[in-house]
Amino acid sequence: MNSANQKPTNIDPNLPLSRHLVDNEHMLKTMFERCSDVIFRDVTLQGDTKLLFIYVDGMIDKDIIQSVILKPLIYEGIPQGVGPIDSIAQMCDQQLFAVLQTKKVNTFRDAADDILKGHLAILADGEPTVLLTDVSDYETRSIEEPSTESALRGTRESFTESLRTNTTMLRRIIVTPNLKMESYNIGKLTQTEVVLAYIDGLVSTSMLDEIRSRVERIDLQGVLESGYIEESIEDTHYSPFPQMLSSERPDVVSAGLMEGRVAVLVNGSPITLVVPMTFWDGLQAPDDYYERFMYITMNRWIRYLFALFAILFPSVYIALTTYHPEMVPPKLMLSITGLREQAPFPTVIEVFIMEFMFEGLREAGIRLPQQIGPLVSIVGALVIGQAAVQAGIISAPIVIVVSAAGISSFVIPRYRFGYPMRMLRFPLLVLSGIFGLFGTAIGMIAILSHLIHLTPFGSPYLQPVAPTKKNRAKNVFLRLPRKRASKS
Amino acid sequence: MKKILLIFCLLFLSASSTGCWNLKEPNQRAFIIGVGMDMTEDKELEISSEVAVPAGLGSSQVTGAGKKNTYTVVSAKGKDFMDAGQRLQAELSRSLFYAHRQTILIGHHMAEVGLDKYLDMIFRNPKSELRSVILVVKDGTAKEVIKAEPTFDPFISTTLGSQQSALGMKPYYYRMLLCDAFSEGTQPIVPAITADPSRGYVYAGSAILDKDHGIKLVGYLNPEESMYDNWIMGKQKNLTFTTSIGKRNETISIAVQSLKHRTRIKMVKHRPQIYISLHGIGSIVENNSSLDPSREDDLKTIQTKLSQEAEKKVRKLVDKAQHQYKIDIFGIGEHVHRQHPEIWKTLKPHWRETFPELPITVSVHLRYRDPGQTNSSL
Amino acid sequence: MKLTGSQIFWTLSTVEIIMAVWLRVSPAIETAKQDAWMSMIIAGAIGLAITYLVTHVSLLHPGETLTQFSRKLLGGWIGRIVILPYFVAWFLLSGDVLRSFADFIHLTILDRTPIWILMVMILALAVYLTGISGITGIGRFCELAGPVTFITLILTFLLNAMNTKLLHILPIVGDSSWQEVFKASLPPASFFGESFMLLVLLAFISSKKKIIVKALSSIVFTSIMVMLATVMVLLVFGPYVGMELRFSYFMLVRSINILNFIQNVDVLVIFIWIFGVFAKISLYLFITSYEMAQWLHVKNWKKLMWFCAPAIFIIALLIPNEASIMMLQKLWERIVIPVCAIAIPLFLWMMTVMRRKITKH
Repeated sequence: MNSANQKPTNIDPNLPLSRHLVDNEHMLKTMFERCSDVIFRDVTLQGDTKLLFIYVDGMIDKDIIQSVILKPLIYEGIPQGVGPIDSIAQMCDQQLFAVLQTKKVNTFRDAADDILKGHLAILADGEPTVLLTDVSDYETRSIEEPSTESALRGTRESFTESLRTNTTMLRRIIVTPNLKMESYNIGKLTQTEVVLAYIDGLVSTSMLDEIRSRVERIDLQGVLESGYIEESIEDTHYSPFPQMLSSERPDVVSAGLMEGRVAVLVNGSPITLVVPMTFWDGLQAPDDYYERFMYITMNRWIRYLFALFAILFPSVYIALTTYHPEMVPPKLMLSITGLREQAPFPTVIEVFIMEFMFEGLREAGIRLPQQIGPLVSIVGALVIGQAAVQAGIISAPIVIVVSAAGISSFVIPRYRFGYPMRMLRFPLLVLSGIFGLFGTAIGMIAILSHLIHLTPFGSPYLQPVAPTKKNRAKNVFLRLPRKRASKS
Repeated sequence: MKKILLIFCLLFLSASSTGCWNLKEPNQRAFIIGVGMDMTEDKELEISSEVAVPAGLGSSQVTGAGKKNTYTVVSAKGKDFMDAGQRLQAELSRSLFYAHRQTILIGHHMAEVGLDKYLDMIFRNPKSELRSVILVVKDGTAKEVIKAEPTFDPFISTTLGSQQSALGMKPYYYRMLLCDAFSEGTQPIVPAITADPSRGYVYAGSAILDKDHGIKLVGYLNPEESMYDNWIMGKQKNLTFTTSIGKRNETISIAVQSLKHRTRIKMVKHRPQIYISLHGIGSIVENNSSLDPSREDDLKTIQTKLSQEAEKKVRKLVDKAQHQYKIDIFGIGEHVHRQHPEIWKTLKPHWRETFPELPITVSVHLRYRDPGQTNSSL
Repeated sequence: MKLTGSQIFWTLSTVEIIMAVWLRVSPAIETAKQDAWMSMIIAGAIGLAITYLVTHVSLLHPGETLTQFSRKLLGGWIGRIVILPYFVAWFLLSGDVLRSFADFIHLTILDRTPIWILMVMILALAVYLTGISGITGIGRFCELAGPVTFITLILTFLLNAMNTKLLHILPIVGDSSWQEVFKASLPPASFFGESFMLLVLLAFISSKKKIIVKALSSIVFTSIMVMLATVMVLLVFGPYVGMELRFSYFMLVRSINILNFIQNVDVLVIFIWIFGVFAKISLYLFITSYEMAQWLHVKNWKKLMWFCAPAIFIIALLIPNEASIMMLQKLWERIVIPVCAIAIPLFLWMMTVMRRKITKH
């Protein structure tokens, strides 16, 4: 209520600066009213030249200001006889400051924007421009090991929150001027810098234009994470499957760039998006191309099988035991039945209960502080695993089925890709509970039809298997040695 | 799009609210493990089913109360299989489930009456199991075998198939009985057992069924005869053969592994002549004689002796088939059909009369590959 | 909406393999006994001829579906009348397939579930797939379902190797005469001749290159698979049992027994079959809707799906029993194939050639 009455500033920020420093100072001070971290510092040089320094405390490198800007100005004054000087700003810019990036702006809005990004603004009396020098230096996280995409082999670096650091990492890997990085500022309040990185000549121009136009159309108040961008530019919101690869590993992103994809880096987010994504990317691990090919081929098949397992196992279990017991070998069927003799719940309900418990445990495990994290697994294993079975509330096969399916979903190397698998289990459970394997088939067909329909940024999701691209499809299933893969 | 989704969801809701039609929890089913078919005195079909009691199996919780039975046998009489099945159901609280039936046992009387009327059900019912082994109970009823207590397995029915494999035969599945029963010239030779009070059952050779007359029992072959018959028919995988040799009737045994059989038909003046040749290669597993198989002469003696002995026995079997049973138990008709389809067409109508007069030549060649761990007898 | 060459191949093979292996093996054995596998080869040859004819006619009019080019060739009204038999054929076929498959599911796995629910579910999904991604989606779906079906077939053959008895296939042409072998080849040939749907599908190809080869090779592939299935059924069951079984391939699958553990996998094969039948229903839903839109001059063919899907459903519901399914198959063999797959394409071909000559002069 109160803030509504307190209008922040009545001034139009698009106004140009005036020639009088006092006016400018007043204007800016009104703009930054009640901003205790914005510092205004007056300096008078040699008694007549008045300068005003404005910066945000904590976002700039004070040492640089002192040694490179203040010292020369105050002690040495304006150098004489170097030639005609139009303005103090120009003088500072060209002769005085040993700082890299400077720029001049002449509206209040531009000035304010840059000040907030950690630039030092210098205003001189009698000049309608603001000189902005980039002396920003704020605390950032150092480069650490990737936490969500660990790999046995490959780089130990992961992206950080700082966009510059991230682009640097890419530049260090891909050394070509063709690596372009287009910058956009998105978000009315956050002014987040978003960079589209791609390799010119490899990327398809039509896709790039499409991405550009979608990024330009984004209308958001703020961008806190690359997820905001992802949601704004994806093809359809109504899909459980991620349509963009998200990675915090520079090697994964570089590989994507070299395949002609576009990377979207967002300031403040260590997660970089790679567009477009295919279904098979979701099942590939970062170090798939660093290890020996036979081993990786086997691993891939294990992953494919487990992905199928993750989505199908509970529903197939229901279908087989309650609809088609003839398919289960007699001995196995009899021991399942024996264990189910005292079970109070129908199989379908049992699986549902356990699935819910499992998802709950998973969710609890993510949120809890690390110290109590293990507690959840202990309680989960003891209470749900053992006690429930011993008490005869849940039958033992269900616990095995649900935990096996849960573990299979964690075999999927990209954790985001495990979400749809776990989520789609539930509709499949319902279907198999009503129609047995027929229902499972119907559910699978529905999922397949959806996947076939998905074409993020014009490239089919199931490519290269459907539509088939012979040479590349082999690589989905086999991961051939590099020489042969490039030949075929 | 949204409309389609909505309709789909509505359909689903309605479907799920009306119920899961086919859903049946595993503990609502009674799993039939084995079935015995008998014919009672008053010509009624009696079905005895061995039904698994899952609570007695596997689950570790049932320890205190003492071991429960793993199976129960229910039997009922009826006009046909399903009619009897309906009455079986009257005795059980769980619905009968046939797809795990491992064994079909045919009682002696049942086999005498003929099986042909009851073959259909087993194939027609989609839930039915095609891989049941089928056996005839010699001089007894299927019921008494099925009620017996098994030695190893929890169910007696599951042991019957594995016993056949242990004896070196290919298990005789119901599917094979059908193939034989519908074939041109093969008679179904079904393995037979007899009821035994202590062991439950004992392998007793094979039963000869006559497919041309309602799959009726004709007679039995003893275990040795049926071994040779199976060899000729290609149903034997390995066998052990013992002969006595020398003056003192010392014995020598050979375990024959790769059995080969060939039946050739030669047409001489429109009359078929049959040449059955049997080959087997094996290793000597017991040698109580003074002969040393590593010596060329002794080896030859052993081989010829073995072959001759076997040949004699096969000849005897052929003789028995041609003159005692007067039925083609070797599937020779089938070979004629395959090798000379034109002639078979003329022969087929009176094959039964032709068979006993057929000239059948038998030759057996047993060779040994491996003398075992010792040379001569220890 | 585009189809690639490999999509044509897989679409055609998937929809034909599942039907022929499912329904045509036993009838062929019934007539030709142990020589049924030869009938399958002959049927494949007949299918090849039909496919060559329709592919050739269709490629004479690149980018145009059957209705479009027949109307262009024969003028508005005659062109439309010529198409009518096709509509009858396609609607009957898809209704028949839907019904017999639902019956089959009902018989084998869901004996207490109402048939109409099964049919509605398959149709609703077909509408979904066809509606959101058209023929491209169906092509891609077949690229997935086709190889899976193929692998399943091969696997079931291999796993049955233990059960085979080579003698069952002898004597070759001893029991049945050549005439019977030829006679037995007609029903499967009528299933292979279903490829006259290429008259519509080939309008969507992305490039003309190798299309004839792809279409013909898919028929060759189909007939080889059906032949293998027949051979396997013969080897395992012999001709006399094989002809008694209604769905002999599924019985074949059922006799698999590996290590006493992998048993009764026919349900799993039915599971795979659902994918193929679904592809078939979607394909015919697309063809009928698209052609009807051309026929009625409706711009948005998707609107006609809302007519065609209920129509297929009603036809499927109206089929009273197994006997009428048999009758429909006879109708397909005796009338539909000669008219739709041979006579009309030949006629259209002649018209095209004549037209071109006239315009040249």
